[in-house]
Amino acid sequence: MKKIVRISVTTLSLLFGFSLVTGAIAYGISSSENVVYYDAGMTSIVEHSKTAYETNENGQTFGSGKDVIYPEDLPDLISVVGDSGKKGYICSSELIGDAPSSLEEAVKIHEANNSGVYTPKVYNVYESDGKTIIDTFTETHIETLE
Amino acid sequence: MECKIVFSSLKSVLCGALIGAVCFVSPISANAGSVSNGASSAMSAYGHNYTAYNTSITGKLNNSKFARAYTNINAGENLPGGYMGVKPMLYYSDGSLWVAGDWDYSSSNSSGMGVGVSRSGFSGTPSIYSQGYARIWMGTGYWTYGTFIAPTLNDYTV
Repeated sequence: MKKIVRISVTTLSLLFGFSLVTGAIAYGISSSENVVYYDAGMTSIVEHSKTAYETNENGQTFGSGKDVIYPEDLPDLISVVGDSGKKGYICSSELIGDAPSSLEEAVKIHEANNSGVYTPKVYNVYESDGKTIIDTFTETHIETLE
Repeated sequence: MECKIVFSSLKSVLCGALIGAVCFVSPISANAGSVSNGASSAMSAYGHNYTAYNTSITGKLNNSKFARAYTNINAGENLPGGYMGVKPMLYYSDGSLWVAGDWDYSSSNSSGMGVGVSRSGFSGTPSIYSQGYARIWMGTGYWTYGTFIAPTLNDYTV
Protein backbone atom coordinates (compact mmCIF):
# COMPACT_ATOMS: atom_id res chain seq x y z
CA MET A 1 0.00 0.00 0.00
CA LYS A 2 2.81 2.38 1.02
CA LYS A 3 4.60 1.57 -2.20
CA ILE A 4 1.53 2.49 -4.29
CA VAL A 5 1.15 5.81 -2.43
CA ARG A 6 4.87 6.57 -2.89
CA ILE A 7 4.75 5.78 -6.63
CA SER A 8 1.59 7.87 -7.07
CA VAL A 9 3.04 10.85 -5.19
CA THR A 10 6.30 10.60 -7.11
CA THR A 11 4.51 10.41 -10.48
CA LEU A 12 2.23 13.33 -9.67
CA SER A 13 5.17 15.37 -8.40
CA LEU A 14 7.15 14.66 -11.56
CA LEU A 15 4.21 15.70 -13.71
CA PHE A 16 3.67 18.84 -11.63
CA GLY A 17 7.32 19.86 -11.94
CA PHE A 18 7.33 19.15 -15.67
CA SER A 19 4.12 21.14 -16.23
CA LEU A 20 5.37 24.01 -14.09
CA VAL A 21 8.48 24.55 -16.20
CA THR A 22 7.08 23.81 -19.67
CA GLY A 23 4.01 25.92 -18.95
CA ALA A 24 6.12 28.85 -17.81
CA ILE A 25 8.39 28.62 -20.88
CA ALA A 26 5.44 28.26 -23.25
CA TYR A 27 3.79 31.30 -21.69
CA GLY A 28 6.99 33.27 -22.05
CA ILE A 29 7.29 32.35 -25.73
CA SER A 30 3.67 33.14 -26.54
CA SER A 31 3.86 36.41 -24.63
CA SER A 32 6.88 37.54 -26.65
CA GLU A 33 4.95 37.26 -29.94
CA ASN A 34 3.63 40.78 -30.09
CA VAL A 35 1.06 41.42 -32.75
CA VAL A 36 0.34 45.05 -33.30
CA TYR A 37 -2.86 46.14 -34.96
CA TYR A 38 -3.80 49.35 -36.67
CA ASP A 39 -7.36 50.48 -37.10
CA ALA A 40 -8.98 51.08 -40.48
CA GLY A 41 -8.17 54.77 -40.29
CA MET A 42 -4.52 53.80 -39.97
CA THR A 43 -4.25 55.29 -36.51
CA SER A 44 -1.08 53.69 -35.35
CA ILE A 45 -0.69 51.89 -32.06
CA VAL A 46 3.09 51.75 -32.32
CA GLU A 47 4.55 54.98 -31.01
CA HIS A 48 6.82 57.03 -33.18
CA SER A 49 10.50 56.64 -32.46
CA LYS A 50 11.89 59.16 -30.01
CA THR A 51 15.49 58.57 -31.00
CA ALA A 52 17.54 61.74 -30.66
CA TYR A 53 19.86 61.73 -33.64
CA GLU A 54 23.04 63.72 -33.98
CA THR A 55 22.88 66.69 -36.36
CA ASN A 56 25.63 67.73 -38.75
CA GLU A 57 26.66 71.26 -39.70
CA ASN A 58 24.15 71.23 -42.56
CA GLY A 59 21.24 70.49 -40.25
CA GLN A 60 20.90 66.88 -41.36
CA THR A 61 20.29 64.21 -38.73
CA PHE A 62 22.42 61.09 -38.96
CA GLY A 63 22.58 57.71 -37.23
CA SER A 64 21.24 54.18 -37.33
CA GLY A 65 17.74 53.40 -38.51
CA LYS A 66 17.53 50.57 -35.99
CA ASP A 67 14.05 49.77 -34.72
CA VAL A 68 12.42 52.59 -36.67
CA ILE A 69 8.93 51.66 -37.88
CA TYR A 70 7.89 54.85 -39.63
CA PRO A 71 10.11 56.11 -42.48
CA GLU A 72 9.54 59.68 -41.32
CA ASP A 73 11.31 58.77 -38.05
CA LEU A 74 14.52 57.75 -39.86
CA PRO A 75 17.50 60.11 -39.68
CA ASP A 76 18.27 62.03 -42.89
CA LEU A 77 21.47 60.02 -43.22
CA ILE A 78 21.39 56.36 -42.28
CA SER A 79 24.57 54.51 -41.28
CA VAL A 80 25.85 51.84 -43.69
CA VAL A 81 28.94 49.84 -44.48
CA GLY A 82 29.86 50.64 -48.07
CA ASP A 83 30.93 48.34 -50.89
CA SER A 84 34.60 48.66 -49.97
CA GLY A 85 33.92 48.28 -46.26
CA LYS A 86 33.96 51.94 -45.28
CA LYS A 87 31.48 53.11 -42.67
CA GLY A 88 29.44 56.11 -43.69
CA TYR A 89 25.94 57.27 -44.45
CA ILE A 90 23.42 57.21 -47.29
CA CYS A 91 20.29 59.32 -47.67
CA SER A 92 17.40 57.51 -46.02
CA SER A 93 14.90 59.09 -48.42
CA GLU A 94 16.82 57.62 -51.37
CA LEU A 95 16.97 54.22 -49.69
CA ILE A 96 13.23 54.07 -49.01
CA GLY A 97 12.47 55.71 -52.36
CA ASP A 98 9.23 57.01 -53.79
CA ALA A 99 6.28 54.64 -53.96
CA PRO A 100 4.82 53.80 -57.36
CA SER A 101 2.04 56.16 -58.37
CA SER A 102 -0.29 53.35 -59.45
CA LEU A 103 -0.86 49.61 -59.24
CA GLU A 104 0.16 49.30 -62.89
CA GLU A 105 3.52 50.90 -62.16
CA ALA A 106 4.05 48.50 -59.24
CA VAL A 107 3.30 45.49 -61.43
CA LYS A 108 5.79 46.78 -64.03
CA ILE A 109 8.45 46.95 -61.31
CA HIS A 110 7.65 43.37 -60.33
CA GLU A 111 7.87 42.22 -63.94
CA ALA A 112 11.19 44.00 -64.43
CA ASN A 113 12.58 42.44 -61.24
CA ASN A 114 11.66 39.00 -62.48
CA SER A 115 12.71 39.46 -66.10
CA GLY A 116 16.34 38.74 -65.33
CA VAL A 117 17.29 42.27 -66.37
CA TYR A 118 18.17 43.77 -63.04
CA THR A 119 20.07 47.00 -62.60
CA PRO A 120 20.97 47.46 -58.94
CA LYS A 121 20.69 50.92 -57.44
CA VAL A 122 23.97 52.46 -56.32
CA TYR A 123 24.01 55.09 -53.57
CA ASN A 124 26.77 57.48 -52.61
CA VAL A 125 28.17 56.86 -49.14
CA TYR A 126 28.97 60.10 -47.33
CA GLU A 127 30.84 61.20 -44.27
CA SER A 128 28.51 62.42 -41.55
CA ASP A 129 28.62 65.86 -43.19
CA GLY A 130 26.37 64.51 -45.95
CA LYS A 131 28.69 66.00 -48.60
CA THR A 132 32.00 64.16 -48.67
CA ILE A 133 31.66 60.99 -50.74
CA ILE A 134 33.78 58.14 -49.35
CA ASP A 135 32.30 55.00 -50.89
CA THR A 136 29.30 53.52 -52.67
CA PHE A 137 26.54 51.24 -51.44
CA THR A 138 25.05 48.88 -54.03
CA GLU A 139 21.71 47.20 -53.56
CA THR A 140 21.57 43.41 -53.87
CA HIS A 141 19.43 41.40 -56.24
CA ILE A 142 16.32 40.15 -54.52
CA GLU A 143 14.70 36.74 -54.47
CA THR A 144 10.91 36.84 -54.46
CA LEU A 145 8.69 33.99 -53.26
CA GLU A 146 4.95 34.11 -53.91
CA MET B 1 7.58 9.13 7.35
CA GLU B 2 5.59 12.22 6.25
CA CYS B 3 8.79 14.24 6.03
CA LYS B 4 10.29 11.54 3.88
CA ILE B 5 7.32 11.62 1.49
CA VAL B 6 7.42 15.44 1.30
CA PHE B 7 11.16 15.40 0.66
CA SER B 8 10.73 12.67 -1.95
CA SER B 9 7.93 14.68 -3.60
CA LEU B 10 10.07 17.80 -3.70
CA LYS B 11 12.84 15.79 -5.33
CA SER B 12 10.34 14.51 -7.90
CA VAL B 13 9.03 18.03 -8.59
CA LEU B 14 12.59 19.22 -9.14
CA CYS B 15 13.35 16.24 -11.37
CA GLY B 16 10.19 16.91 -13.38
CA ALA B 17 11.10 20.57 -13.70
CA LEU B 18 14.59 19.61 -14.86
CA ILE B 19 13.24 17.16 -17.45
CA GLY B 20 10.74 19.79 -18.63
CA ALA B 21 13.44 22.42 -18.95
CA VAL B 22 15.74 20.07 -20.86
CA CYS B 23 12.91 18.93 -23.18
CA PHE B 24 11.92 22.52 -23.95
CA VAL B 25 15.28 24.22 -24.12
CA SER B 26 17.15 21.59 -26.14
CA PRO B 27 15.33 22.14 -29.44
CA ILE B 28 15.49 25.92 -28.96
CA SER B 29 19.25 25.76 -28.38
CA ALA B 30 19.71 23.53 -31.40
CA ASN B 31 18.10 26.17 -33.60
CA ALA B 32 19.50 29.24 -31.87
CA GLY B 33 21.58 31.44 -34.10
CA SER B 34 20.28 30.07 -37.38
CA VAL B 35 16.76 31.48 -37.82
CA SER B 36 14.90 34.28 -36.07
CA ASN B 37 11.53 35.81 -36.76
CA GLY B 38 10.46 39.29 -35.80
CA ALA B 39 7.08 40.01 -34.27
CA SER B 40 4.22 40.33 -36.73
CA SER B 41 2.45 43.58 -37.38
CA ALA B 42 -1.13 43.53 -38.65
CA MET B 43 -2.68 46.29 -40.72
CA SER B 44 -6.07 47.02 -42.21
CA ALA B 45 -6.28 49.16 -45.30
CA TYR B 46 -8.73 49.68 -48.12
CA GLY B 47 -10.85 46.77 -46.91
CA HIS B 48 -8.04 44.25 -46.64
CA ASN B 49 -6.02 42.90 -43.73
CA TYR B 50 -2.28 42.38 -43.91
CA THR B 51 0.34 40.77 -41.70
CA ALA B 52 4.03 41.52 -42.17
CA TYR B 53 7.12 40.20 -40.44
CA ASN B 54 10.84 39.76 -40.97
CA THR B 55 13.05 36.68 -40.84
CA SER B 56 16.83 36.53 -40.33
CA ILE B 57 18.82 33.44 -41.28
CA THR B 58 22.50 32.67 -40.86
CA GLY B 59 24.29 29.47 -41.71
CA LYS B 60 26.73 27.59 -43.86
CA LEU B 61 26.04 26.19 -47.32
CA ASN B 62 28.68 24.27 -49.29
CA ASN B 63 31.21 25.36 -46.70
CA SER B 64 30.42 29.03 -47.32
CA LYS B 65 28.88 31.24 -44.63
CA PHE B 66 25.76 33.14 -45.57
CA ALA B 67 23.36 35.64 -44.01
CA ARG B 68 19.88 36.22 -45.33
CA ALA B 69 16.93 38.50 -44.66
CA TYR B 70 13.35 37.98 -45.72
CA THR B 71 10.54 40.47 -45.48
CA ASN B 72 7.16 38.78 -45.70
CA ILE B 73 3.64 40.11 -46.13
CA ASN B 74 0.40 38.16 -46.27
CA ALA B 75 -3.16 39.23 -47.05
CA GLY B 76 -4.87 35.87 -46.61
CA GLU B 77 -6.82 36.42 -49.83
CA ASN B 78 -5.93 36.83 -53.48
CA LEU B 79 -5.53 40.46 -54.46
CA PRO B 80 -4.92 42.34 -57.71
CA GLY B 81 -1.32 42.93 -58.73
CA GLY B 82 0.67 45.58 -56.90
CA TYR B 83 -1.39 45.66 -53.71
CA MET B 84 1.61 44.66 -51.57
CA GLY B 85 5.28 45.50 -51.72
CA VAL B 86 8.31 44.76 -49.54
CA LYS B 87 11.97 45.72 -49.29
CA PRO B 88 14.29 43.48 -47.23
CA MET B 89 17.39 44.74 -45.40
CA LEU B 90 20.17 43.13 -43.40
CA TYR B 91 22.00 45.06 -40.67
CA TYR B 92 25.08 44.59 -38.53
CA SER B 93 24.16 44.40 -34.88
CA ASP B 94 25.56 47.92 -34.33
CA GLY B 95 22.76 49.23 -36.55
CA SER B 96 24.79 49.81 -39.73
CA LEU B 97 23.05 48.72 -42.91
CA TRP B 98 24.96 45.87 -44.57
CA VAL B 99 22.73 44.57 -47.39
CA ALA B 100 19.62 46.10 -48.94
CA GLY B 101 17.36 44.75 -51.64
CA ASP B 102 15.14 46.73 -53.95
CA TRP B 103 11.37 46.98 -53.64
CA ASP B 104 9.27 44.26 -55.20
CA TYR B 105 5.50 44.22 -55.55
CA SER B 106 2.95 41.43 -55.65
CA SER B 107 1.81 39.94 -58.92
CA SER B 108 -1.83 39.47 -59.92
CA ASN B 109 -3.94 37.16 -57.73
CA SER B 110 -1.29 36.93 -55.05
CA SER B 111 -2.21 36.43 -51.39
CA GLY B 112 1.24 37.17 -50.06
CA MET B 113 4.91 37.39 -50.84
CA GLY B 114 8.35 37.07 -49.28
CA VAL B 115 11.35 38.90 -50.65
CA GLY B 116 14.87 38.00 -49.59
CA VAL B 117 18.42 39.25 -49.89
CA SER B 118 21.54 37.26 -49.13
CA ARG B 119 25.23 37.83 -48.61
CA SER B 120 27.91 35.15 -48.65
CA GLY B 121 31.66 34.94 -49.00
CA PHE B 122 32.37 37.31 -46.11
CA SER B 123 35.02 36.94 -43.45
CA GLY B 124 34.41 36.58 -39.74
CA THR B 125 31.11 35.81 -38.08
CA PRO B 126 29.22 39.10 -38.04
CA SER B 127 26.26 39.49 -35.72
CA ILE B 128 23.34 40.50 -37.87
CA TYR B 129 19.66 41.30 -37.64
CA SER B 130 17.09 42.11 -40.29
CA GLN B 131 14.31 44.58 -40.71
CA GLY B 132 12.41 45.47 -43.84
CA TYR B 133 9.79 47.85 -45.16
CA ALA B 134 6.35 47.04 -46.49
CA ARG B 135 3.94 48.96 -48.70
CA ILE B 136 0.21 48.45 -48.95
CA TRP B 137 -2.19 49.95 -51.45
CA MET B 138 -4.51 52.53 -49.91
CA GLY B 139 -6.72 53.15 -52.92
CA THR B 140 -4.99 56.26 -54.21
CA GLY B 141 -1.42 55.56 -53.16
CA TYR B 142 0.77 53.50 -50.86
CA TRP B 143 1.42 53.55 -47.15
CA THR B 144 4.98 52.57 -46.19
CA TYR B 145 5.96 51.17 -42.80
CA GLY B 146 8.76 49.12 -41.28
CA THR B 147 8.54 45.59 -39.98
CA PHE B 148 9.71 44.75 -36.49
CA ILE B 149 13.30 43.56 -36.14
CA ALA B 150 14.04 39.85 -36.53
CA PRO B 151 16.48 39.33 -33.63
CA THR B 152 20.27 39.20 -33.92
CA LEU B 153 22.05 36.01 -35.05
CA ASN B 154 25.71 35.08 -35.29
CA ASP B 155 25.72 31.30 -35.63
CA TYR B 156 27.25 30.16 -38.93
CA THR B 157 28.05 26.60 -37.87
CA VAL B 158 25.15 24.84 -39.64
